[in-house]
Amino acid sequence: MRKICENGMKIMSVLDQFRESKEKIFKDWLRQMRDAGYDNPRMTGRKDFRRRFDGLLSALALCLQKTEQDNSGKHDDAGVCLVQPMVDDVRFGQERGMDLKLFLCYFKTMISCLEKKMVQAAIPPLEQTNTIIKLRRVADFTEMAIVARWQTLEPVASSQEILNPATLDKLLGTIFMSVGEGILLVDEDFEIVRVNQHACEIFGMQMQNMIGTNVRSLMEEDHASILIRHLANMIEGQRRNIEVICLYVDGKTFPATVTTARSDMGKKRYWSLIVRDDTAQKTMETQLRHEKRQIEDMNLALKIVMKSIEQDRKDFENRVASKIKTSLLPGLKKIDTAEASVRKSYLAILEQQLVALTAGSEKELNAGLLKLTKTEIEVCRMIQAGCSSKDICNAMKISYNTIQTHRKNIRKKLGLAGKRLNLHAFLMNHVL
Amino acid sequence: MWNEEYDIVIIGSGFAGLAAAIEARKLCSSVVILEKMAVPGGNSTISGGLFAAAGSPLQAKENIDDSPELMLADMLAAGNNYNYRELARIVAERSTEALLWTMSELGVKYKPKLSHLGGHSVPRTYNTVNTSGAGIIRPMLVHLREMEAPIRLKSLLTDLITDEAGGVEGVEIREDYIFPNRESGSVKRIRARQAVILATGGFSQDKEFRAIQNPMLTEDIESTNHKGATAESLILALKAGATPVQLSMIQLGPWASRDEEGFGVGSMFSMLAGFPYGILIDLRTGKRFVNEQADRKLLVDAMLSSDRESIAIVDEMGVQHASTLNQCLKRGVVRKFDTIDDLAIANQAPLLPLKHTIDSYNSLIESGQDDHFGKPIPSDLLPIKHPPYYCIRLISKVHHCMGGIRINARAQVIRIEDNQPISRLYAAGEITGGIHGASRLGSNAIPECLIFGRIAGINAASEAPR
Repeated sequence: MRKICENGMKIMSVLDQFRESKEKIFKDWLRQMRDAGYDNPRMTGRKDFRRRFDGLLSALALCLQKTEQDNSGKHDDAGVCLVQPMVDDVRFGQERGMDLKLFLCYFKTMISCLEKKMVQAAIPPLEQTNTIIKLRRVADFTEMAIVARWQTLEPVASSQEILNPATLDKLLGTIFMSVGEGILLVDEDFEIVRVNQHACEIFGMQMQNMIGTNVRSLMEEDHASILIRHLANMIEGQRRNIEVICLYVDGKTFPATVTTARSDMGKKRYWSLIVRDDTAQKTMETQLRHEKRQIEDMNLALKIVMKSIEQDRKDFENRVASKIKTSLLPGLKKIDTAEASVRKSYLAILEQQLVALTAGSEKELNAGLLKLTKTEIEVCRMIQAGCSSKDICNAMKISYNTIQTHRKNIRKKLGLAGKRLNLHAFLMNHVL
Repeated sequence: MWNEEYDIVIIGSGFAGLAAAIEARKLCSSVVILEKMAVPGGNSTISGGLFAAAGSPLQAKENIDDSPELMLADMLAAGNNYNYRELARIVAERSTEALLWTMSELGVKYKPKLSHLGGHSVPRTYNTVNTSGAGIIRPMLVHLREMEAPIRLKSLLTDLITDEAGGVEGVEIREDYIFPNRESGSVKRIRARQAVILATGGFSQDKEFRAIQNPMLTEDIESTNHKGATAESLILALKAGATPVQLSMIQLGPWASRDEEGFGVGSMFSMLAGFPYGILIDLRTGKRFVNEQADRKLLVDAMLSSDRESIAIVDEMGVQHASTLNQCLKRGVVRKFDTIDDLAIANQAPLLPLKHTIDSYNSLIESGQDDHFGKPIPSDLLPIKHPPYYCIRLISKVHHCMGGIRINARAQVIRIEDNQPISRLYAAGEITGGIHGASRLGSNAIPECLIFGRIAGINAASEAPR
């Protein structure tokens, strides 16, 4: 009993020492919180920490005393050994937008700092174990009380919820999981530590398989080496894009763009990789390129067609112009000087030629008709009417030979010379 | 009436489904695999990749005397003789053939050393090089891509369509389904010219359904399985007339970690190092309470009784067998201590009883005595005395459904009404029941899924097209 008391005294003096070195413990605590990712832990006021830490020490002291008193065997009633300042500050924490997890992290980190000190302190091992167990007990009871109080208190008014960082954290978590791009968080060993749903789908792997996998194994070897080199050379806050060929779970490859960024947490470096599957985009690009080429080809063809149409038009114009010059204009002159009887024929011929010209008819304009003389037209008319050469001789009172000469000339002028076409048949198709 | 048509329609892309697809695709031209999740591989790809084979090459090399009869005897002992012997015998007899198939046809790589899992009489467990079922699933996926058997993701089975005679004619699915929203996606009907194969796995994550079968499995009991391990396709099979078998036989895994979700990396640590080369103690007493190498059911029952808080402890020598150690330490699932004292403090365990437990366990090994819990003491088992020490906090999680629908040796689903096969309906893998009886031995699931998957694939592909 006396020994226990002596040891007890020793413990108490150690606790006093801890009270003295609060400042050191505070710094250690701050560092641990930072390492845990709470870079700006709310409620970090030094004064508040001291107050809560003192509360912890007194609770522990109380717990140790009680055990000594009740050593007779009756189980100690350590339930009252609470770190009262922590429990009292639940509302305070809620109002500052902490969530329960963060609040407990604050407390647990404090416990862990003290425990570390305790292990280093010069206390006999048995006492040390005993004290640590007591510390744990105090921690457990306090934690329970915190949770109970947290849940019984009315939630902080919703108007403040928008500013509530805890909600924000949760929101960010949700966004991370549901965002439409693959996100991987990679540690210094280039192993995946966090990954979102979309990334799992991109690579065809379950989250459990992804986590712990080296990021190298997700892409073709050369590309992986490039990516790793690229990551190693990045400075914090930098952001870059890199194009790589990735591997789907079944060995199929696909092009992807990876946006990398480095972020340091505590002493550790992490990289976030945002992966975008470019398969669809690349297919579209190829398709677009293909379509563009097709359109260009079509354009070229069109240009050629347009050119030839233009050429045709010019040719046509030239032909019309020359026809007018060589055929129609002389005809007009002849009409001017012709006698009334043949003028009609000339006019009819002219009319027909003009119609043919404007209709753009395929039929060659027969300029020959307009070249015919007055006598020749008369002869033609008679042929058209079905008269034989003899009939014409008689009617026009000219010799048979003269008629034959006329016929020859007419054939020449109409471009029928040397052709097998009958003059009568030809004239049947023309108005005279 | 039908939107599409294939020779063979396979539901599920785990071990059984992919094995069926590989065999079926060799025999017919159009095979499709439908998977409801957004990634392929189901629970198989996150499993430990442990493969039990009786009479394997490594056993021959290590002079381990084993036979299919011995493996069958182990299965029946663990299964409390609830096993359907004809089916269990097929697993034991073809285990080595299936193992060699994964090596020769798929190119799967295994570690060069066997593991001895609880409940097996001898070491007979192969382990994939990456300590994961993905080590088998990935080569299967690569093979199927080369064989041109498409896997359609996000396609949920919503009905088995039967003809007047009760035979299965095709399936109704939801395409672009987003798990777990049953209203998502659009309905499509796919006709199967030859047969439909169900390979949809177990229902360990279906908290409602598993509680119906075993009310002790309340909602707050976690599962090692992936989120998609639910019962809807099993229910559809029952609706089509399949015979339910032992649905309440649901196994918990005793080796899962309290400090991570699901199967994680801790499970393999316990299975490969913690149990065979370490000790399992109750934190409240500091004492051992069970044969660490007992089968899963015995372990879980012991761990769950009287609110035990269990941790497994292993030393530097034993930890050499743990292939997932680095990941475990990195994630805080396994913690490392220089002394047993530190370990006791950190776990709030009573120091003296714990030390005593370890000492007496060590003297047991050193003197070659029998363990009164019945743990086998092989010659390579070393006392726990080489620091540092490692420990993992354990909690039992729902792991495997031994029960399911009844099949025959040809993997045909048996109708409850007349005990005859349902025409053109096959099943393989965890959706089937009766093979493992009351408790499945660790590393027996992969051989079972591959063997019956292949049987289903071959038999389905030899049905006459209609």
